[in-house]
Amino acid sequence: MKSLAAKDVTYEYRNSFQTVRAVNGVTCEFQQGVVYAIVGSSGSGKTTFLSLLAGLDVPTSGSVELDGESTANANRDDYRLNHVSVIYQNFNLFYHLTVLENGAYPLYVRNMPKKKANELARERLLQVGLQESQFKRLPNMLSGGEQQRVAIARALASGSEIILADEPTGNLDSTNSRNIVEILQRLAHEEKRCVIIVTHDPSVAEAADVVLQMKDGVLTQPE
Amino acid sequence: MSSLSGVTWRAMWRRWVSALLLIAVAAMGACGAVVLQNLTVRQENAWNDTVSNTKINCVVTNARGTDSGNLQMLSAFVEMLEGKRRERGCYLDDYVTNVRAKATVSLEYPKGAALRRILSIDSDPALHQVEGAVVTFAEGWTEAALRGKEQVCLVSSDLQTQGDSITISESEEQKIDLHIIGTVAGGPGNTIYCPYFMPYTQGESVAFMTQSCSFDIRDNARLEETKEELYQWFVEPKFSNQMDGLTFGVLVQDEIYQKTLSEIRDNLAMLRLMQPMLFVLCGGIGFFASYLATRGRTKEFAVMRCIGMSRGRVFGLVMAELVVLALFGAVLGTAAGFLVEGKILLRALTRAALITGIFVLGSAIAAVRITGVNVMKLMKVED
Repeated sequence: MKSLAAKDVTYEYRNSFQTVRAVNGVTCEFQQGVVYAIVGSSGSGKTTFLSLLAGLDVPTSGSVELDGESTANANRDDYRLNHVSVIYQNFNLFYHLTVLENGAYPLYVRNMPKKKANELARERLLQVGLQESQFKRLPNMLSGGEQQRVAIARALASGSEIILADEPTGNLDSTNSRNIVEILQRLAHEEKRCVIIVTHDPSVAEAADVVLQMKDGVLTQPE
Repeated sequence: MSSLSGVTWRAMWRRWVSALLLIAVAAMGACGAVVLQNLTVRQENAWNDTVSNTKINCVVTNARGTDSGNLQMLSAFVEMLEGKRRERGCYLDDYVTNVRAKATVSLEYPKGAALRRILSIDSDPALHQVEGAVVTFAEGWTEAALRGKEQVCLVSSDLQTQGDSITISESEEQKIDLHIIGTVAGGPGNTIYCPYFMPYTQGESVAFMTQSCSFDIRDNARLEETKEELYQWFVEPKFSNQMDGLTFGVLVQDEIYQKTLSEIRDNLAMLRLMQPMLFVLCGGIGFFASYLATRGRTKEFAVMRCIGMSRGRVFGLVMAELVVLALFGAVLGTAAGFLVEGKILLRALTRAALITGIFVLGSAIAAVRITGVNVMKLMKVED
């Protein structure tokens, strides 16, 4: 059972003129099999916190730990490749790769043979509701909801136990949003993955098992 | 090929517009390098050909340079030019070649005839074919005999002779028989041409006055050194020079040669200046073209990093693409250079490779900048 923990995490953006503390001493723990929602107003620091959990940078102070080991000390490329997957509001697909190639990309990065990688990606794409006929299309020939499914399939194909989603329904209509949330719920409850969603959307927050509030860089549990 | 490389190449060709842009830019650089190098080599060859093949004519004149046809110059000067006075420390023959000299004396006998001492047919303009003269040598004889000391001669076809020799005399007491080795038709009449250094008596040297003398520079590459050597024995013709009858000038007719070399030198200087400019330009264009072609993909690289690719691996992937496109462009550019020039020199290929290398270097700098972005900040800004 993997557990992801933030211990007194602080992060500051610095430039020549000012220092902004985006995350201020956050401590919390995330478990597999649970959907977490982090809510908060714009600029509250939730995306920055999610990026730290994703290993895109190291905290200014404190630590992000996977099973007790700080990501700052580990190989963060390896951490991102094998343990976490991030889903973004604007999908962040490779627009010159087909749907199938996008789904299989993390496996290509792991040097998995093309045939096996495509087979695994195909399974994941079907799992999130995409059809075989769409696999050879380029992403911009798909709807927003379908593109987000490709992004989720890519995260699934990588086999990461932690899925981080930054406003995953931000660009989607309500029907597609509901579908995406259902997929993320299934991933947590059926496949025992840890799903952490940053969102503005109250309906998405309602679907989460645990809701956390971020305000001025500080994480609290709403009453 | 790994699955990642395969998918990278496929994506690269799907971005065919930017791929074509980079190929075109690399091709232009390589083509430019080939053409520029070939132009340089052509100019260098023109320089070498001019130095090797140009005949720089030097004319002996009086000290003021006002007369070259009636010098009254001692034959000793010609001996110096011909290398017959080396034991006296004169090595002019190391510097000059194809000496032409003519000395004319009136003869007592045959009556009214003239004797012309010449070093070659060219020594007397009247014997040139363009003047209508036709010189015919007897079997077994050539023009080389004129540089020897044998008592032989060419005679005007209008001159009365008996058999294969002719008796001549400058004065009653000096009569000699010259063996006729050829005839001159269409030239001056009543004239006998003998070797310039022919003595009246075998074994004796002669001294006489020379009317005209000219020669060529032996090695144009040593032109300035040759001039220095010449002006130790002659003077540079100037109107202010004294006319003492013993001092003669040499007019080196090298204006066209110097002008040609000067033009080639200017061209070479321009071409050699253009080469580093082309290098800088290609490096800069490589940077900007690669930067423009990859700038739009910053987010794509950031996503690669998010997926778990290391910065080095992303850089390697980008560079592999750029190098393949640059090499493809270089091959096309070199082929275009070959079509334009009709040939490819090894040096041109080296320059094309160098230009491509500089282009790739520019691309690498662009790739470092683009793949070196802070992924977290970028993703945050994008979202």
